[in-house]
Amino acid sequence: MWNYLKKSKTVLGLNERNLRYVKIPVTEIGHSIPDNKLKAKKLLRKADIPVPKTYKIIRDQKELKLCNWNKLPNSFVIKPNLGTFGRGILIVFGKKKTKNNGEQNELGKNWVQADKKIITIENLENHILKILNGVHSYKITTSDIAFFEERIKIHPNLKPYCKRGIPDVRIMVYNKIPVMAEMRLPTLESQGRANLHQGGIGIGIDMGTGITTSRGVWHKKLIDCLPERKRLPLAGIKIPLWEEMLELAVKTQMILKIDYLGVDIAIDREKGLVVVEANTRPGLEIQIANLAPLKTRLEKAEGIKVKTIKQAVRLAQDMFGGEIEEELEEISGKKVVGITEPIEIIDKKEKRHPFIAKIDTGSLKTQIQKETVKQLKLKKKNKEEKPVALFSFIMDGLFVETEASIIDDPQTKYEVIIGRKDLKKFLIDPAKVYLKSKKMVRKKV
Amino acid sequence: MSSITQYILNRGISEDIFILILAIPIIFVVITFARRIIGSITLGIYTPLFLILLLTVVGIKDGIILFIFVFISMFVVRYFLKKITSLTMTDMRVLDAIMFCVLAIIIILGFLYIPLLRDIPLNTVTLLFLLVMSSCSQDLIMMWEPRGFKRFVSPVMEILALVIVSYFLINWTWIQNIILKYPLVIIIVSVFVIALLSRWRKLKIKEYIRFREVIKHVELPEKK
Repeated sequence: MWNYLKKSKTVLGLNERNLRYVKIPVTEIGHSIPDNKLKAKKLLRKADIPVPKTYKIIRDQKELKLCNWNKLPNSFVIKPNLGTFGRGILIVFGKKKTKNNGEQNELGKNWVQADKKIITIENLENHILKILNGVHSYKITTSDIAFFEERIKIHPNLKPYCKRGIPDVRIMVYNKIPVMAEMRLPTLESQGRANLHQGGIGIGIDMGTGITTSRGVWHKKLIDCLPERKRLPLAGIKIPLWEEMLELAVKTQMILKIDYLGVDIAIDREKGLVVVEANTRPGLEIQIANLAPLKTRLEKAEGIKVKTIKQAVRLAQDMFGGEIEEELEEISGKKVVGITEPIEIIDKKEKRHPFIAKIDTGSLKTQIQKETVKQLKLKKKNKEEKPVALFSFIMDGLFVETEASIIDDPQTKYEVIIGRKDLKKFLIDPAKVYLKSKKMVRKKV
Repeated sequence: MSSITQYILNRGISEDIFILILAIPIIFVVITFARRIIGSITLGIYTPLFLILLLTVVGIKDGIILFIFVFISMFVVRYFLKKITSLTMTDMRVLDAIMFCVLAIIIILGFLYIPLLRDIPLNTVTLLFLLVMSSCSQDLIMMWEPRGFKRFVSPVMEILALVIVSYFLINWTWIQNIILKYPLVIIIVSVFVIALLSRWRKLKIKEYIRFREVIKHVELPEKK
């Protein structure tokens, strides 16, 4: 019980989120942004950030009466300007086809929704009227504005995971550093909307690789497979354009100047990445989807001064990535290392010396530079008339005892090259780039 | 009894009203506690406050019966009206007005034919109570109706529990004596407690349950 309470201190709750992280932006422009989708979109568009095209804005009943429905494209999305939790979002998938003389299919007057329900002009008018009356706005009493927006077309890689609607990725950015992310999948129940409150599924993402982690959250419960296609596991989905997505999220925060922000990004088949929404009070379910507490990550990101967007992304991948790797290590019992890896050589006096070693599966034995052996005063031995150094090193937390060939090649970049013989306890992931330890990164920053 | 209390009572204000007025800060403390520490849905501060104050006048038993009756009626009325009017109704306020009219008819019929309700005196206070209840249930339905009746019941029960707890608290003789003895202390302490609660940063009790899976997966750094 005591341990449970101790652990709970790392989880971010609503009280702390509202008191500590959700702050009213200082700038005049920023002040009007929270919860106002149209203003946020305008600002982002000005800064060349891709956002969905706005077809039409309806401010009052007069404008609704004058609306020319024939001018609307076949598919679109209707949104309330001050909406929250995905309430009031209506996704129209296309025009209903009508049969003429039983032969030709022509586009009719009506549209079709996610659940194939037919929508008439009257239905649309009714829905917009509700929005104008403020039924879907975050304050029920306030009147609102409705707008028609472009419907994003699904990326082929993500098509198997949703029957209708567009999945998006929510990236939580704090202090210009992406701290946590989740993929949100729409379901038939959510009528094409990706919002978790409407019945969408949230799946945690490994910040380092952009691959979905083991489980998803649906109606506040953890699930392993898609509820609509039970054989399709939720783990292991590779998010396309992951690094670009993180960069876009950081850029969005920099423009909106809101310290704590949830950026929703979708991938359009033709346009690529599109910022769908930016939330000043993003939901906390992202912690359940990732099975990781947000507070510790926010505290880690606090106070770090980020100079460039690339640096912010690198920091995020370094500090908060590696969940997939941990899982793999847990299953195989072996550590995952990259092509280059930091090691610590232990000398005779038990002193540790840090080096960056190259992992080389092409050579059997580990090799060490003659100069390094001299400097560290390592124990030497002649084996089969060839000099070898006897020492131990620590790589990724594991202790390895080795007998390394001494080489004298000043052109080689690395002081130590680890060979196959010493890699029995490790798995090699060529995609894993050597990232500096948290301490080193902080010093550098 | 304190001199302030004595002075106010001598000016013609009845003891019951004086207790009721000074119970308001205590009710605010309970509501803030429910919101900040427990994580209950309270529909703001004023709706439960009105409900609690009206409940003290209507009486606990009659109050609870009316509470449940209005919520169920409101849900049923809205459910059917929405089905009928979804295609034809153009203004939500008109829909609300129609809903209230239908609800009024149901309440009158209820008072005429339901034995439990027949014993409740139908006076101005009861009507006011019903009105606040209707508005409260309207807000709740707006928020929770799309998630079905089962999920709608849970916030209703939370509000009912909050109202009942507050009712017993302000009707507790010990509390009433303290109100009469130290009216100023009650106000100052209440303001202080509310200020403290509003700075509460830890998880709400409901969040301990909501995030249990996350908490289970947390790995604390080992002590060296």
